[in-house]
Amino acid sequence: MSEHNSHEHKDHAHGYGHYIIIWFALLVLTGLTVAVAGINFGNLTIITALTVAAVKSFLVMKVFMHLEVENRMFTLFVYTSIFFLAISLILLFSDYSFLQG
Amino acid sequence: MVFERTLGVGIFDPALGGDPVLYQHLFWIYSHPAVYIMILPAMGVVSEIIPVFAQRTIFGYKFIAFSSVAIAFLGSLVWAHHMFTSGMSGVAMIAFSVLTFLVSIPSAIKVFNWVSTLYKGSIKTEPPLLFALGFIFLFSIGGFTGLIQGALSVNLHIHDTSFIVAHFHYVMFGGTGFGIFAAMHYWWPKMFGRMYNKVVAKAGFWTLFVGFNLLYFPMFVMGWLGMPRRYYDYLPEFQIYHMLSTVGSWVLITGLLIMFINLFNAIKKGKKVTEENVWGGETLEWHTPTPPFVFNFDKTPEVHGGPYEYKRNEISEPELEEEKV
Amino acid sequence: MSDTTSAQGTVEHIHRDDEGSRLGMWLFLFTELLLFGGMFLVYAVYKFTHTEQFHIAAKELNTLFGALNTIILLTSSLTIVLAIVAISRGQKYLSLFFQLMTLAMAGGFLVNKYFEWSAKISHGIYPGSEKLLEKESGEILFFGLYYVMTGLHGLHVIIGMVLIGVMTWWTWKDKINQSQFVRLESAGLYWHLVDVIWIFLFPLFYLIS
Repeated sequence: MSEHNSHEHKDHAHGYGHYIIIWFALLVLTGLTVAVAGINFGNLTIITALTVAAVKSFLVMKVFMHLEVENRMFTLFVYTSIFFLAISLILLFSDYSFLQG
Repeated sequence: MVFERTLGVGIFDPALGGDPVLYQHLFWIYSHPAVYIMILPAMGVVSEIIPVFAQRTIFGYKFIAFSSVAIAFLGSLVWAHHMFTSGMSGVAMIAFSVLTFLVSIPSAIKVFNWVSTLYKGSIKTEPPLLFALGFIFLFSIGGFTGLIQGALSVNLHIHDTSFIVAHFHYVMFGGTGFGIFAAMHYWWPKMFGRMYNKVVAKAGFWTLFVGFNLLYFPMFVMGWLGMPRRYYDYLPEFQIYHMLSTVGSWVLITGLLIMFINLFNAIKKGKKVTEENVWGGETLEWHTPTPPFVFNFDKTPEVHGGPYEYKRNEISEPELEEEKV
Repeated sequence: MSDTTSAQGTVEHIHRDDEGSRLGMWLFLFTELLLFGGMFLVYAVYKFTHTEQFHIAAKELNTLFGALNTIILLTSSLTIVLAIVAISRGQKYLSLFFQLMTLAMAGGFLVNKYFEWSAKISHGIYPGSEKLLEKESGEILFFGLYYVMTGLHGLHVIIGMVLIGVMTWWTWKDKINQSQFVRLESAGLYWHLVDVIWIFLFPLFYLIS
């Protein structure tokens, strides 16, 4: 694996414009989530907020952190960590959701 | 915890609305996977040593490899089996109990494959093998008693007794500890270019083994009979067990001293080893000089077989490029 | 990778592995994810068990400050990645400009935080304060989590600033240049994680009112 190749590969992978477009999308999403928070949907508000946050993180990790040009293993590792956290959350709630009194 | 105590943050303080059980959850979410992190390298060592001293290719390599992944995955999902008596919901307790039973399966696969490797092998009873066999025996006892603890109804009675203490010493000391001792005896000659006294090493092993069981096995019995853990005082009916454990500890320490003195003595005064492959192993470290120089190999070595394959020295040496120092 | 070695083991090429360097930073980032992840788990449980009180407590936080900080961090994420693009194209001074912009915005974030926290503290709401202890337990938990989590995050912002500051110095001194800039990439990765953590902190503390 040659360092020279990966630099050229990165270079041609993205220009300045690409990142600026993603940044703009992130700002739009932020605006969206603030606007939605003002309207009271009850439970749906927090779910929307978290979904938007997840999309924003996905964009940051994929584009800004270069996961899309990196070795596929890195993406697999990220998904594994998130998966572990998700399962911890689910199992944790198996306790709290079913407590009586 | 620090913030809680110094700044009065109160995240786990019941007086401020916090939940101590939540603290336990967080503690064990990390700490249980940590013990699997400790046992997996020791299991790797055993997988290296058994084929060499049985002179047979390891049985079921793919299953051994995948079971490591399974242990890592399932072992991250069982943490609350340390909390069965702390007041969790029934659903959580059942879920974690089931998962705990499942996580024993990959470990059992490894034990089965190691034993199958030994079957019909040409056994060389050298010190590394003794420690590896000790691992298999002691870890199996620890593993089985882990299953006993995973059963909810039984756990109610043995939680916080010395039964638990015995269990984790069997897996951690009998498992990881003996695995590390096996590794030391296996790679010592390669690392230092000196061989320790094998007779003394074997004597050390047996002393350790007897002392270990004498120290920890009585704890299973007295834990079952109700002796709590972390108590310095006890009822008269437990006296005999404590005495056995105490004597066992003396024997154990003697064994440790024999082993360590033997090994450390060897560094300066052991018999010099110049051959590359003292044990007849097939992995790459046995094709470097003893002790290895910086970077280990002059040229990238060529590999001719799968992991832990044992071809009874049928590989023709000229194909393995190596340079004498 | 190391090439020819003589019998004494001297190496003729210096070992370099950019992908490995980036992987090393990613592995560290996973530990950070678990650190904050653990705290998010605590948050999730308490929000579930004290939903109403969390809602009430969140009203005390200023959504505008939070949104402003989100925009600042997102933009700083942009500037650090643009700094990397610049240096990969050999544009040293453009890269320095973007790195300094990142630092400026990080500083802006911290200034904002300072105003937020001092406003809260002057109103008597801080861990262990009398006013806080008079509130409902759910609210006490909310603010406990707020201070610890945003505080720890702020600490990471400071660390990130120091890290990027060192990168700026190295870029200035040409230690980071067009043919070797993996350190800047790793620092960028760290900074992006700080951003991602805030992306989740923001809605959970500021947008549940």
